[in-house]
Amino acid sequence: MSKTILVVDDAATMVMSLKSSLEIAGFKVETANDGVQAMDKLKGGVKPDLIITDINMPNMGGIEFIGKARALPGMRFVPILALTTESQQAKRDEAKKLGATGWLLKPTSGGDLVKVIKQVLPGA
Amino acid sequence: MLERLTRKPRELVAALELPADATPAQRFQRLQQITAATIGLGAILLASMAYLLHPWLQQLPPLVGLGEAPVSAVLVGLLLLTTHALASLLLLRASSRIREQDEDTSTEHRDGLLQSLSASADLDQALQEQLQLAVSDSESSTVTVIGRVQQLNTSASKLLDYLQHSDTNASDMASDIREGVDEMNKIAGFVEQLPDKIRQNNQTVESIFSEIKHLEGLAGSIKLISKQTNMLSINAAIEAARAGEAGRGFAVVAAEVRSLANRAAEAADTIESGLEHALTSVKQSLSESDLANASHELEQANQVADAFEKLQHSYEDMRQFYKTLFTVVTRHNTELAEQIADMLGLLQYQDVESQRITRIKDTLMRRQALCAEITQLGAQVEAQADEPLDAALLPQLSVSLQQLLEEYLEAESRHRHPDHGSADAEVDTGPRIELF
Repeated sequence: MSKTILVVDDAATMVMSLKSSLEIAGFKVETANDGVQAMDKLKGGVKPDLIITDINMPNMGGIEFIGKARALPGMRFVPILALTTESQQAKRDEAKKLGATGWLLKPTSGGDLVKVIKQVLPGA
Repeated sequence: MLERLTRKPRELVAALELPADATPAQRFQRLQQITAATIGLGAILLASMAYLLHPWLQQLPPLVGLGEAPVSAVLVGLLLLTTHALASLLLLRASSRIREQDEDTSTEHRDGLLQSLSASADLDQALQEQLQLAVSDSESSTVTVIGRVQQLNTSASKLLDYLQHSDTNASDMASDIREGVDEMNKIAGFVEQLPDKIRQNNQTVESIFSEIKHLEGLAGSIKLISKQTNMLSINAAIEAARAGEAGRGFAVVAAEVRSLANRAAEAADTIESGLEHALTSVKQSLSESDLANASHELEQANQVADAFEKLQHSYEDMRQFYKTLFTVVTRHNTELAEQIADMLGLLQYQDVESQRITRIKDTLMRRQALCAEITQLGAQVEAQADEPLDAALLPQLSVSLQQLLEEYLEAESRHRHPDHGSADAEVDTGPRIELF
């Protein structure tokens, strides 16, 4: 059974390209345009095996979303990867503190992304 | 007289007027020249007056009852005062003229600066619109590319599905053909053995034929025996009749023997007739089994089996080729899928560039707002006219623009990709991929 990945990004092109490349790699993909939508999906019953989130987003940014998502029941051990243009070390440290699993800078090729996913999601 | 006295200085002042675009240094230098000229003119005037009034000075002391020295001192003092007053007047007028020119220039500069700021704000607005258009266009193009790539991937997947389906069908067909060839081989084997079986059957029939022939001879013997028995019974009957009463019993036996002989002859006829019929049937059967024709058909059957075997070999070759083709297409399709995934990853550059353009656009928007604010403040300063433009606005504009630049550069440094290198060694961008 294919694993489900939740992609959170405010850029339509990012969501589309990630969805396509992950589906080609055999994953099932759910999408959200910001942290608020992503939280609604998680509370609404979507159970992702992994989350990929942008950091700078309107309404609710990635850092805040990581903290809130981690507090939800059943989300404690779900890997969360930040995929962003934000390269400030302080932000990385903050995300790490709140429970992020990894930090990837845009652009990351489909091959590299799948490699990282297989590292943090055994059996994928 | 007064007009004549002041006309020359006015002309002098007019001659000393500066062009409208003169610099402050040029204006200060010109003011120094005017000051020096007026002092020199006053000194010449004083010396001329002293020389012209000298005879009158010699006559005046007795008239006023004072000595020559005090009168000369008073007169020189008055002349000095007059020339200084005239020089001061000239200087005042010149400086006043220069200040008027400065004010005009300052007003022109302020208007020019405000117009420049307004034009800069308009330019910022136009640039923002173009940048927004560039972002929209690139986003639209990226969405189109993603759509096309998805179609490409779908087509590749369909091709693979088709090949998989074809491979399955080919496998089924191969199995059917193999079964067909096996059946044909069995039939061929049977057909191959058929001539021998026919020959065996013919030999059996010929054996039966000779047996029947032999039985036919036996039937003839029975008929002959019955005929002789009949003759014998007739003779016995004659002899019995001759014997009279004594031969009556013998006559009865002779009659029975005759009857038996007739029945034996009838039985022999029936057997002979049956054997004749059987022989006819066997002959007919032997004549219908044409071994030459049968051999030809058997050869043809064997040829069909050979053709089937060749077909099977050809099909195996074709299937092997098909399998190789399928393997190659599958490998290329996998590579294609990986390349498509990588290409989709590269499309993330659109988002990276879009964010960079958005930061430039935001900075331009802030600079536009700043220019609009400064232009508004300039209008207020002009209305109040109590503070020079450079003192009120330019420092504020400079500080604000510097702050804007620093904020922009700081935001850019926070989004610098490590692959692009770092112009500032102190900026820590961290690794491209980091797992915590």
